[in-house]
Amino acid sequence: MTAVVAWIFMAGMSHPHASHTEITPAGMSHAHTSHTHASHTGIILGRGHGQGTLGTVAMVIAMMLPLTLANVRHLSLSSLWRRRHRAIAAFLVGYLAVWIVVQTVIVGGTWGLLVPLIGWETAAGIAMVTAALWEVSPIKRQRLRRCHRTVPLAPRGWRADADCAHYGVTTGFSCVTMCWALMVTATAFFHSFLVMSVLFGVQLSGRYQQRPSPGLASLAVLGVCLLSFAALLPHH
Amino acid sequence: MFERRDVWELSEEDPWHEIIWWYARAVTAMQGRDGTDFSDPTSWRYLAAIHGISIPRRSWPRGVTWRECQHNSWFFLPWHRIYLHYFESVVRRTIVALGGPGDWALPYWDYSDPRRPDVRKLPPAFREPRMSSGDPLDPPVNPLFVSERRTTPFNINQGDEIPPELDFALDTATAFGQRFFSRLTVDLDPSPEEELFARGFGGPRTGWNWAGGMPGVLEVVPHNWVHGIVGGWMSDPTTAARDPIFWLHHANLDRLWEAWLALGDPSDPDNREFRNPSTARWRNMWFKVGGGASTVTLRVREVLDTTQPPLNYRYSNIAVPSVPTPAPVAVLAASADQGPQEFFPEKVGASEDRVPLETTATEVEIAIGAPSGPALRERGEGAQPRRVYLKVENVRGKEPAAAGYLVYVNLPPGAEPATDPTTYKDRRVGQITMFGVLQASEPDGEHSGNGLTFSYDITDVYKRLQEAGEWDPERLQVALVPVLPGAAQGGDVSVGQVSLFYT
Repeated sequence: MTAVVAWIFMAGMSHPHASHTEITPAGMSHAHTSHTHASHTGIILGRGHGQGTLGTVAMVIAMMLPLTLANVRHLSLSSLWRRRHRAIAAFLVGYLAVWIVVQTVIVGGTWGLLVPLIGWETAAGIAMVTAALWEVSPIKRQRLRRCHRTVPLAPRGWRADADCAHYGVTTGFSCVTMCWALMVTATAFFHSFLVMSVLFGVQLSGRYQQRPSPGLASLAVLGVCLLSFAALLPHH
Repeated sequence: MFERRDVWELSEEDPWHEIIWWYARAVTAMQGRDGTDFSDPTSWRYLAAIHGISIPRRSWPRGVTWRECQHNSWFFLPWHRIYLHYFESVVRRTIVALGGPGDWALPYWDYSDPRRPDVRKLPPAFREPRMSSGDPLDPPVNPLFVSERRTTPFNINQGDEIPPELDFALDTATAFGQRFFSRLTVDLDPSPEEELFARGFGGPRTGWNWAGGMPGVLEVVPHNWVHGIVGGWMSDPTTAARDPIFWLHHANLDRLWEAWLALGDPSDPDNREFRNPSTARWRNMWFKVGGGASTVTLRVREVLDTTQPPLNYRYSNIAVPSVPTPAPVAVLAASADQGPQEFFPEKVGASEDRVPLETTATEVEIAIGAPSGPALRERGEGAQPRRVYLKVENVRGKEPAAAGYLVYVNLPPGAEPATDPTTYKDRRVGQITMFGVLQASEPDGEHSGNGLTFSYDITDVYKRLQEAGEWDPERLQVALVPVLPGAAQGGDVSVGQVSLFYT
């Protein structure tokens, strides 16, 4: 439910710019290019609109929280009944803390460092190619396995809380090593609703499909990013 | 139609019966194709590597499909059937190329027949360092002999029988007592209770190489135990298939699958007892085995009838002695609603720390709390639980101190079941086997480093102990007793948690 709210929020963030282009890469219209860069940089870096942190948190919740359903289920079934909500909360605090810090660094690195240095087209192109290659790399397949990790949790007391929070942090780090390239790409493409949706689908299929197809995932990443490029570049 | 025959029946005719002799010739020829990198898909080491190999993935030759074995999985039986089919085809082609019979088929080793004590020994042809058939074409060394096999407390290569105290490890009765392939009831989506605790004959619902999956009953007994009993290469999935007896062991498991299916009632197609899963998720799963021109890609549904192409084989005998009449699963209290109903297992107690698995028995105490969730709502305060489960999870480590462990609850003070595993059977609730523990513990491995997980329905034992006044509702003693402990102290395998659930 929280993730759904976050998606609605992210869609809302994309919406004001959507009318300028056929697809919905938020705010890359010809007339507003410089403004858009400024406003997005503002949003992302926490300046200007005052939504920076909120946007980052919403992005993390929308994209990452649904990937923890199996972990949350493990927590729920592995905890004493009266402690299960507390266990899930402790896990999510650890998990989201990792991702919010990492996403803040991704946003800052992309828009504060990379784009001013090499330009948006090059930065987005690098992000796209890196994400596509990452999807088919054996290391990604290896990292994905760590996300399925379950751990014994102390049944009661402060150790139970600590175990759950620690499980959240380690799962968060595993998730970062699996999804970092997709999150950089989503950020480089302005958190466009379309790009985010496709990349989210790629993440979900990697996490939950019986036998994920890395080639298909890579093509999906390339496809949606090239579509965005095609829509954006003539105006740029 | 090819016929897979009992290796002990062949051995009684002639220890070097032509089926066994041609197998040895083919193994020698296939070992000759190994080369330095095992990249020939018809070489012995390539075939073994399909099951498992310890060489890191980055050092593999390009395009090989290695380390694919399905354990603790819904696909344990069908994957191994396809693997055996590929292996048998390669061996048969090799035999034909050597001038042997074109109808050669893989024999099976049925070690569980109590009427024939000899079958508890390794067949003679697998025990002799040198071939003694007298044929001038005999290879200089016997490729069926593997010196690494178990030597203590019994020497399997010396022809020692698997001792009677290990009857439990060969007994197929528990597996044949399972009425369903992977579930307690019907073929719908699994409830949490079934997902977590109902292992069935063939294994619970899982995906491909699923993390944290549990073995089906047949996978533990006799499969895992026989791997541990033969020992040496057989005790580790990355080397197991290098031992020529591996293939005869798995042919027997494949035969037991056929025997279990034969218990079904063909006149009642709606009855899901003793039937394969009907769901498309299971039937449409595909596996690619082998390499080059001989690659085999098959879906599960294509290998369910062994008498049809592409398999075209049957077993000489699928009669299984002492098949018990399957008893209904014990339920302590009937549900108020007798219709289809899901029961959510509620954890009521768990061990606080990791429990080491050593060469001596380990005891762990679990503090049990009164149920406060679904188990309470379902039954009411103070009422008996409907079912009681014990779960042993996150069994991790690199070096097991024993081939496995027997799990007991509430042993009387001073009890020492390690000296004779046949004692205290009424308090034995399950078994832990070490086959594959190293691979399941690797964080980047197929099982995500979750280790092995086992669960046991202990409702019957709970009921007996309660009636005898030996069940403490606040405390449970669990003893983990080693089977075939190593000679030296040590080992680093431990249990992450032992926990108790009520529904």
